[in-house]
Amino acid sequence: MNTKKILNGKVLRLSLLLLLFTGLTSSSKMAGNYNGLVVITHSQTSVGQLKKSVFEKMIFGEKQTWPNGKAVFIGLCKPTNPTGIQVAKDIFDMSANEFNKYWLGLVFEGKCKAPALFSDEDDLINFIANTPNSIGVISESSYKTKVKRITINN
Amino acid sequence: MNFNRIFFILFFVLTTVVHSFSQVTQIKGFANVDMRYTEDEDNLMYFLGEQDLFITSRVTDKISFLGESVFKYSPNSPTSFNVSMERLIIGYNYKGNHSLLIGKHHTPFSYWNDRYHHGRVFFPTVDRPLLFRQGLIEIHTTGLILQGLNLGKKKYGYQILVGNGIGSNDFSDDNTFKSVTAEVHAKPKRGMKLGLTGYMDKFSSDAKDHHSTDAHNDSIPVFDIFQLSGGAYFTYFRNKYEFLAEAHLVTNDNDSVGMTSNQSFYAYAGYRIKDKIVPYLKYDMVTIDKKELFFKQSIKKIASIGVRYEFSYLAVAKLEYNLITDAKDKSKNGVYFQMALGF
Repeated sequence: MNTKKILNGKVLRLSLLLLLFTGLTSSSKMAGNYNGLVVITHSQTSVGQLKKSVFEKMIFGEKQTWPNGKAVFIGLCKPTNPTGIQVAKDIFDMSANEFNKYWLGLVFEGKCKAPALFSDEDDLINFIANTPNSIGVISESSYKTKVKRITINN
Repeated sequence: MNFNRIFFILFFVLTTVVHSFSQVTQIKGFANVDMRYTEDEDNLMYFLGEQDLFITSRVTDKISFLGESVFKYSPNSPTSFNVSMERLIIGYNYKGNHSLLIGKHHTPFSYWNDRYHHGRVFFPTVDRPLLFRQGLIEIHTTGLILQGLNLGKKKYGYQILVGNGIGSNDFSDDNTFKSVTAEVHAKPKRGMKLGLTGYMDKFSSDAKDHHSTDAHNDSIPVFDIFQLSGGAYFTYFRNKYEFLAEAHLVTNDNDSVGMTSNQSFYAYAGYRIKDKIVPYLKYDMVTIDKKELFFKQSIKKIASIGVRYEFSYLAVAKLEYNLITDAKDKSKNGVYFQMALGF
């Protein structure tokens, strides 16, 4: 009887620890809201906020249209500059090599349109400012008002 | 008056379209040069692979183009090389993630065929699986695809292809029966994909299988073949882990010998030990039915061990050892090296 109680107690403690760990890891994932990065779009895009899951599908090339049915144009920094490296790491969870391979593979497969990749962040901002229905990610410090900021909600 | 009005409206619409959409065209290339040493040839040989010219263009908001032409060695050509149109696809994205694609496609019956096909720089190994080399699948189909991708939370997808089939070329079809290819898949986790495929076609045994390989028997009587095939695949490529497995059953039914069942299976596993280095293993086998007349068996199985070195995502070197077992259960050793580039 005692052994059963002890065992039940151990199981209970272990379960609580597991729950706590799961909660911690999942909450840390939720909180990881791309620190220092800003999601931007063309100034005339009607969308001001996106669910994180929807944004990720868009930026991964998996969602080809905006809610209004217009085609999405993706613009990103090449993972050769610090913002590009951070985007590859924080959003795509990939190294620069994996990021490049991912896009080339998708385009070669014919399943996705190639994103526009820029070495310079200002060029990316200009691309977004001049391309209706575009979406991109820049660093917080580079943000300019000629593009619209999109809030990402968990 | 009316004509002027129509002209004005047309001019306005066209100029608006041109101003609101700028065409984006990309041209890429892929090439490979290989070396091999096999026990039976007993000679180290260098050989050219393919030079692949790949063009994609976003013509309008909804219409896209994909073209792929390959320059490759061809012993029957006067110059020993020929150019083949491998893919020519015009796509129309009619709603959300649903599209219609018309043209010449890589038949989505096999994951490898749909995903890699030509670009050796993407191949995890040196060569394609035996499924291709033994001609078990129709690798190209000219026809119409109805496609939906990344649907719902599990990112379901489908591809239904109706095309000319095995007995055809890029301009005509030998018979009125259209081939049907169906593929459904899900991507439940990033890097993971699993799917089911099916293929159905009817053709004559003397069909010049333009879209497939030269691996078929050409000295058999003329009769109609009804081909029905099914397959499944699972793939996981994420972080350090790489895994890919495919299995197919291809049945040929004819009045001469009845139904034959032919199987193929391969599995690949790799582990990235360093950022640029991936050692890997592959086991690949094809079993041709003893009654089979259309397919012929030259290789039964290949066990491979190799290493891939990625200088970058556009420059990959592979060194691979193969233990090859032929149709007579005779084994031979082979060592292969490949340098594959994208540019």
